[in-house]
Amino acid sequence: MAGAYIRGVGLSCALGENPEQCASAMQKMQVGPIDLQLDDFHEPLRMPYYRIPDDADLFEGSRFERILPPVARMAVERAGLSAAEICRLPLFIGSSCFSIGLSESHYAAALSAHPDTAMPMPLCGGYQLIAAIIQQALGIDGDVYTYNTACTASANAMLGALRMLKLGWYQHALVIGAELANRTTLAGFSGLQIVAQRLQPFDAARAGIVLGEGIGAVVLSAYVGSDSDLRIIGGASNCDTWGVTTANPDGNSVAAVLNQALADAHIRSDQVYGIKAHGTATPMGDTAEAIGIRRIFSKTPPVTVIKPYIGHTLGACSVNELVLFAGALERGFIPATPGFETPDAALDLNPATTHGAAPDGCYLLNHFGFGGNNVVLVLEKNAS
Amino acid sequence: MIGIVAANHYLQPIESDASLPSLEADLRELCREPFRRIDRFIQLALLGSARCIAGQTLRPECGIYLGSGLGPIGNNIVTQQQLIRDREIPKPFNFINTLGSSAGFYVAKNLGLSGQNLFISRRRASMEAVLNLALADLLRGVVEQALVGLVEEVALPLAVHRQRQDLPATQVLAEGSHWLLLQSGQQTARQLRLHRFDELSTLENFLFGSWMQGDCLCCASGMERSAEQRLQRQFPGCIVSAWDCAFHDSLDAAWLTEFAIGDRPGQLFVVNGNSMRGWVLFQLGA
Amino acid sequence: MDREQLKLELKRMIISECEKDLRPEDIPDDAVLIGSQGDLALDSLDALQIALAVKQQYGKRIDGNNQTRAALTSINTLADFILADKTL
Repeated sequence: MAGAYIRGVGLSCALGENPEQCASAMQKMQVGPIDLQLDDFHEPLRMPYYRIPDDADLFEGSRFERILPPVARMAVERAGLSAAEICRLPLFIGSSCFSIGLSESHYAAALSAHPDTAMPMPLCGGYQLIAAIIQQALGIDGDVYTYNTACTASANAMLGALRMLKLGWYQHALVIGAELANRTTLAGFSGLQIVAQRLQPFDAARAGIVLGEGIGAVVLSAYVGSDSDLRIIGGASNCDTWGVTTANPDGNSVAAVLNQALADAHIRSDQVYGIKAHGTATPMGDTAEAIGIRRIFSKTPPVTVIKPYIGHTLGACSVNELVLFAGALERGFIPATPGFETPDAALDLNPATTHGAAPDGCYLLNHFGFGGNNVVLVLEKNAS
Repeated sequence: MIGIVAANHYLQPIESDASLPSLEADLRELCREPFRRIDRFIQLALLGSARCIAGQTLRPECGIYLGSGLGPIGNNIVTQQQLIRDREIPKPFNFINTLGSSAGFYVAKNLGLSGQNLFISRRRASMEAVLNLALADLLRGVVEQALVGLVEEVALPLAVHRQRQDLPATQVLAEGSHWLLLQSGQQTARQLRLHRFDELSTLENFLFGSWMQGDCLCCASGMERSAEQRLQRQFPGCIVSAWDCAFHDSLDAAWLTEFAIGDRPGQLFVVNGNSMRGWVLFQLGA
Repeated sequence: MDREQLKLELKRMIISECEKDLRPEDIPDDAVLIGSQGDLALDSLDALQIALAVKQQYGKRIDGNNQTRAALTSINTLADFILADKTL
């Protein structure tokens, strides 16, 4: 088997509640973070935030059970799997927050009821909770792998699923990226002082990330079962121990993982038509990525960054951005990168400001995260 | 062929609420450099991995497969208290270490590794999840060496930590850091094989076929109860739960590391699964 | 607030927040705090940790802004920043 077909997708993010709605919004270059104000802290926090446009309070615990299952179900239904296949479907989940938002709500409620005996982190084994919510709602009883590698979590989940499909251990896999608003993430990133007013990937004036939430789901299959013409054909993951919050700006570990991914997919760099960059828009992060990319390509292929449409959805970003990027490729365009205005001469990497053509061929999907984690996936359009 | 090149573990029952045993003297001895800004979970991971490697030089591309049911629970507690109870922004070091990838980062830094670095959880079956991933990568040649670790931390007070895990008040808790270094194509005294079965009867037939006198069969903590009873009847020597003296979420790993370290003859089989998702059998033998 | 007392408090805070194996008397008032060439070899992550501790303990905000960031140059500049009536 040469790759894993994308057989069904689901998505809920700032752009909408299904993949088509989201892709259309992206095609219209709709970009809409809200102005989020949190009064829970001694000093109020204010930042732009890309939220899923439901009516609920952002931190309401019931959002987990309301938002997660429909997205997963969407992907599974579109994949057209049999009841028996669904029952044994393995679940690969990547997240950086897991159920921490739910845990916060329980602890806050316990604190107001019994301040002296309230137990922090009341939902032990919370990594497993969102898997359990999905499994229960969809009647799935297969193996579960929950990846907890910060912003590369769902990229590593995709890679793990791909490798097990290639081995023939599974015929199908459900890969989920999950990020729902929670106080830990919002306040934590605020303390790191890397939250900007707007996302400007690779721009000379880039000042940092803007956070967002989103749930994405992809069913990967060892064989074609629908009219999908997209498949993941390879990828690689490595670790850069230069710093816990960023890859070495010399670009070495980024170049290394790009090379490993190309080798794994058995393609050369001149066969890459485009790159979905990670593009966090932090000064250091974009530097490492741009220098790493330039080292691999004598002529840089078209580059796009999806984050300005949905925010940085952290551990879920790989699956969320893949669903959006795949939707764009199927409609025949590579998305423009809103927010990119002034090229940075030091980076020499310029994402397009208008949508470009999306021919058949190979595309790279880049992901980098805290803990030095770097993951690159290779996507092929029109595999047949 | 997957060989176990090295194995070691740290398993410490925690019976006092006074304080957790300090790991700092051990870490000073075992780590290449003194690390700052690390939490107890990271300390446990550093300790177990360094003991397992015991000064060997690994290939830089060796993969790290870290598993845990609860993860950095102590640091998560502190961070959640800062945030919800004290209404403060979490301190950067606390926040970063809640994200899960930190422990693997410091293990990689300490051992000079730059390969794939994963942190996986499957609650009480985290061992099965990480071993599946490590073996898949070894079998496909993605990595030639895989450092597999299971780490669980205790957060004091003990009564609250038991309550958090729905454990009985008499349950003794333990901290653990269990590590195996696996290598493909390596002829070593201990080989690790993974078998998957759809039907329990096929698994039983396989066991009957490979069973030798002195072998040992363990049922992992996620094993379906009725299947466990059936195997006990078929294999009267089958040990089911010898670790109930001191518990942590990844105690299944102790079967493997204990056996890999020791010079007990025969093979060890660890089985897990249920009739819906099928059965997984780890075979550790010569 | 007594300036000498404050400086001692700040040294203790930095040692404790950044887990440096030092005593307060090991840190001169004009030692360079941040940067690999600095006397304490603290990095940008340490700077964030200290900034948050200063905010929570003394109510003074140090952010990416160059003027407030300069407060983290040394114990002397940090003490001046905290004692100043208004944020620089």
